[in-house]
Amino acid sequence: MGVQIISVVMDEASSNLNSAFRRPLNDVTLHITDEPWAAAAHILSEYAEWGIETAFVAGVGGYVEFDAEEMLQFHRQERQASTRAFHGQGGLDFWVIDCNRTDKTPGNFDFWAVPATRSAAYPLYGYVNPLAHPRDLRRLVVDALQGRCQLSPVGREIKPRVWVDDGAHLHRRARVVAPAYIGRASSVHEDTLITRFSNVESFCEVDYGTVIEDTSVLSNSYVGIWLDVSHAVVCGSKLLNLTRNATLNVADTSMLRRNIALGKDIRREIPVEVAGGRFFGSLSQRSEMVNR
Amino acid sequence: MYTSGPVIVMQLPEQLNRREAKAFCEELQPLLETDRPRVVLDCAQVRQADSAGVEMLLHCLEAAMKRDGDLKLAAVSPELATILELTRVDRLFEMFDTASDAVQSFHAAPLPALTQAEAWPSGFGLLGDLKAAS
Repeated sequence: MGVQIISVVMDEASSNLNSAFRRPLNDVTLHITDEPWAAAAHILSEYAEWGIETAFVAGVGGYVEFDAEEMLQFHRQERQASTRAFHGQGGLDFWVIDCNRTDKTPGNFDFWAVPATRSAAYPLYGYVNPLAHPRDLRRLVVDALQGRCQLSPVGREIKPRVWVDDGAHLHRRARVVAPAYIGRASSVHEDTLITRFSNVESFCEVDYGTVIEDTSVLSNSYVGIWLDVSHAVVCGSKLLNLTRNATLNVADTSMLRRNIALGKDIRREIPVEVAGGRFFGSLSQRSEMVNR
Repeated sequence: MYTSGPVIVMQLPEQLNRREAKAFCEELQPLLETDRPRVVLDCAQVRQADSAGVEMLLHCLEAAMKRDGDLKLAAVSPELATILELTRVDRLFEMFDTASDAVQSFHAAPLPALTQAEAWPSGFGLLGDLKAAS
């Protein structure tokens, strides 16, 4: 499609992500700002000055599968200054914009202009998951493991529909019921049970005798011995029970805690791009690590 | 009992009590002692199950796993499903709507991904070779 330039705009809180990209960002311009959308509008003006005709603008939040060429074609047919993607109940943070037809005042482009105002609405029929709530995360994992979307687990399929990523250690007496995913460098100890569409992300440890059922254990989490974790999302010492919609912050580090190991920068190890196929590398803060 | 390639399919009896479970287990045991046993238990006929029946299922699963094999359940009757759910044993097993689905799940060959528009299998469906959206 002849992509000339990629600009990534992020706020300060997300700025630690730039070192976590798996591929080098040689052709990507990074902007860190307190007002990302205003910055994006400003960048569009710059694109126009540089002679770039059309830009895709995407807010990185949900998971969307779409045909970029088809959306571009639709945009050209509609002949509006911008086209926004819509799905189901509402608009997505996805636009195709004619850079030279936007308001020339830097930062003045209104991304949320309603379709009637020089903006077309592109109906998107592909798979969409807003990822607005941890429940959406579980839905995405289940859908991916069931083949309902194009997101695929990485790693080796050690048995049908059980994927284990590089460096993960699965005790031979651990029971993993398909489909399931065990992330990079994670350890699953003996007499554990991983079941019901669970995913254990990278750098995790599931200790002896624990059951993980219909649960996502996000990167860099330790789950202690003889626990029964069901219908939940675990992130370090936090557990969100999806049935009760209640979050627990567990102070007892023998039960749940952030999993840390000396000598490695987790940020570089944890990929963040869902499109690359990994299940949501946790966007962990940088932390000191101790030997396991 | 019928075979489908190297996967053994056996039908569980209507009454899964101590006596029936013992007899069934004796019949299944030689098959579990092969290398990497792959067994599907067709549970469509089960109308009653007690703790001995559940224990038998767990014993067979453990025996299969010890030899790097697996044991899956197919067409689980509502009565058996209730017992398995109450005892929280259901999460130990992969369960399928039909025996043929269970048999196919043993094969590693990928199948085409299902699209969102198609009807989903109610149990653990077959996964295809999935590619991330580019």
